[in-house]
Amino acid sequence: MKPSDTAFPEVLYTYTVIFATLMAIVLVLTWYRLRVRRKRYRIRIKVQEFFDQWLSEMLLGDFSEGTPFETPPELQDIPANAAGRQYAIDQLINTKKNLIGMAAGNVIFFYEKLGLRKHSVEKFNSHIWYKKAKGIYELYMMEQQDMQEEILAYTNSRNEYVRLEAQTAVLAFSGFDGLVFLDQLTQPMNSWQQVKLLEQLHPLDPGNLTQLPEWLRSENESVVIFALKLAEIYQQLQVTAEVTDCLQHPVERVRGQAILALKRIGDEATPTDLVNRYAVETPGNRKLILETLGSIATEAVRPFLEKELDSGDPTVQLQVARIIARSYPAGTAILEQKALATPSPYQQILLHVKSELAR
Amino acid sequence: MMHHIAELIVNVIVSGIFLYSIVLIFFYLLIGLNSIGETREYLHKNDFTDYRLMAASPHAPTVSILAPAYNEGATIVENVRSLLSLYYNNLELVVINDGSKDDSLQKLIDAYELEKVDFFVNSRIPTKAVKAVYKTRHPAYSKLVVVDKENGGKADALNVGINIASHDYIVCIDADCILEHDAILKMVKPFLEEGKERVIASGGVIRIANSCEVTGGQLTKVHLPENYWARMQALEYIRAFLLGRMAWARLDGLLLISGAFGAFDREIVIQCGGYSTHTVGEDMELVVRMRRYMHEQNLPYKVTYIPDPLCWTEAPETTRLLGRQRNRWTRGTIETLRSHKIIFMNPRYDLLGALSYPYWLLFEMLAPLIEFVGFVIFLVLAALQLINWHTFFAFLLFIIFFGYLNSIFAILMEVSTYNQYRRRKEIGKLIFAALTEPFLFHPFVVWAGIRGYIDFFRKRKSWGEMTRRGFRKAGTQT
Repeated sequence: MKPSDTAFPEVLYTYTVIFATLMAIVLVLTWYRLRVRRKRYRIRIKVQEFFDQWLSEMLLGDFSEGTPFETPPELQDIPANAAGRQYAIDQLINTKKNLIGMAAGNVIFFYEKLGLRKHSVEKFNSHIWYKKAKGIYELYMMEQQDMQEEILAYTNSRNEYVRLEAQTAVLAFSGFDGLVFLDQLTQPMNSWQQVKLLEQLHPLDPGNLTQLPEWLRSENESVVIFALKLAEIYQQLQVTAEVTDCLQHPVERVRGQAILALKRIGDEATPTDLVNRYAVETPGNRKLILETLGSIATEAVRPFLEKELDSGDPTVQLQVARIIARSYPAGTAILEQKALATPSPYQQILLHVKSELAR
Repeated sequence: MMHHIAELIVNVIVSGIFLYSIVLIFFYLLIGLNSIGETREYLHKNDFTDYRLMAASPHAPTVSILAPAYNEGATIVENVRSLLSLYYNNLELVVINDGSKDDSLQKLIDAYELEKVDFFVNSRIPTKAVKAVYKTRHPAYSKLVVVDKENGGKADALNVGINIASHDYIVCIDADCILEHDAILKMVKPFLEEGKERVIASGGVIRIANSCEVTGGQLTKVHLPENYWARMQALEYIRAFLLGRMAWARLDGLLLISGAFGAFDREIVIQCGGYSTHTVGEDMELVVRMRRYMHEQNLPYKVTYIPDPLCWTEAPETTRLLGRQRNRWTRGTIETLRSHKIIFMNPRYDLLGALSYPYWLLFEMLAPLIEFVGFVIFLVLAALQLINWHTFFAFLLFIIFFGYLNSIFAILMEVSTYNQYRRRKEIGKLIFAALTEPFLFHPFVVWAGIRGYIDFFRKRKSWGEMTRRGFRKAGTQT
């Protein structure tokens, strides 16, 4: 159709009317959303005023088995209270994060007696990933141990958010024993997942971690990385040989994590092992090797470090100068000699290192 | 004969403009749909994320904030204090004094008990000379590093910051921006979530702080800007960030992370040569160069964007300042697209070459030119009485109403997601601002863009001064 055809303006007017109609619909939707938000906000404030007061009073009570409990009308399981009940779940979770002992037990008691578990289980049974993930989160935060078996099935879920919550849940329920899911894990664990799991394990006693050697040999590279972090954090010296083997792993990130782990669990051969790897490593892992040597350098690697001081790469030179100054009694003297012989760049490097040591 | 030729020319021009509009509408629909998907997914993913885990975790990535400052003596101490209070453990704050002519440096030295330290600057990216590096022994400010350097512009200052930063990720900000206290936590999470694809950069939403209340360097109450030009920019930012950037992030075609707040993988930035000092659009240029580098090295990568309003900035309130800003943006876009023209429709760059670059070329860079030329042609045709007024008005209404629809949809997205402007009156004002846009704000922006073209061809490189009024303190009237 040519734009100058007489029908053309009519088509444009038709589309303009369509746009105007859509605009009106969007405007109505905007007003409706604003209204819903305001309504929710009012309900939230109302529930908040009631619930926070109610909870602070109730937390002080002794609610052992058999204690009579009456659900307040504002929290009864009726559709009108849906938003309020979700608020109650969220608030109980937030409260429990900051409590231990009997008060934390009371929070769980209220969660169960108020019938809020039912909502969490409904979410867990949903086919929608974000509802399932949230259901799992609520269940483990409220220590619903009996759900462990069902949740365990999702630790290798294809959805990373469901998987993460399920993995966190089994650790929340069983501590280090929950790490059994690593045996079967074929899906990856990203760094955020690993941070979350490590934080979950943080206050617990690791015991012997007997599966660690197998996880370090896992075909799933993220399991190996996670196992290396466990070995490092909990100083699992019994797996030093396996961690050293990981220096030959085909995946760069695994090798990098092994280098970091050896900082804490390496033996007397580790500095030499790292130096032997240095020439064939990626620039990123070379940096990690130097970082590790900064803590464990021995007399055996001193010739290597002195050679690297001449490497010509200022980043490496500065890092090596730091190691030499900190690791050897004559370290500063070595740097001073170097600075005297070749003032640029060693004089500035020397001053930098001295300044760091002085602070 | 002449009449037929004239009619043919008119038809070709009108068809061209019509086709341009249709393609633009197609892109806007694509952007709208993708932004809904991306924003919904983000909100669901982070519904119950406990960011506190990361704040204190030794396994969280290390971050250096780079804040270049030039003649910001009036606010620098408070701004730095606000940045030092950010909620993140593995943090370093590098403030780069870019040869300020005022007392910025002295104020920092006095306020934070700074002392000059011997510092070996490894200039992996070439920059103007560093005069001195300052640190403090005060334990409360141990994260602070202040660099004094010769004036070289924002890009050069950031490059010095990149050279000096000691952490793995850098967050580049404008020193006068206000960051939310959890901004770094939210910004860093995408880097932790990387899988096979390395996350090389992450952007965050910038919002307009004019008329908002600020206490102790923190935003305490959000208001819609009272000034018309700033209010229009509030609407524009909602459209650009909540719709545009989110959609392009989902399509893996994001070309711009705002210079006011962006996080980058430091090593990749260095490998790419840092910020370019030869453009006034250094923020966009860096992202394009980083993407190009990753493509050319065949390295899988991702550029992410998060919709949380994390950074608040003061928008220009006068036509003089706004015009300068848009002039600079136009020049920056031209310079960036020109220096990376190899990407255009090049299959080697996948969607970047096939969709993102052409979109930016046609609907960002060329838009002011096409609109201006279209307007001139309209005047000529009107003078020659060659306009079919029936078609003209139909087309004008068609375009204006689509623009309205797009703006109002952006407002709906804002209300449905973060709802920063909660009062109905404010939403009403925002909608009214949208209705005036085609007649006031848009023609002005097009004109500023044309001036940007003129300055580009005149080879003007200036940034243009940006005088700030300062934020409204809580409890005061402006």
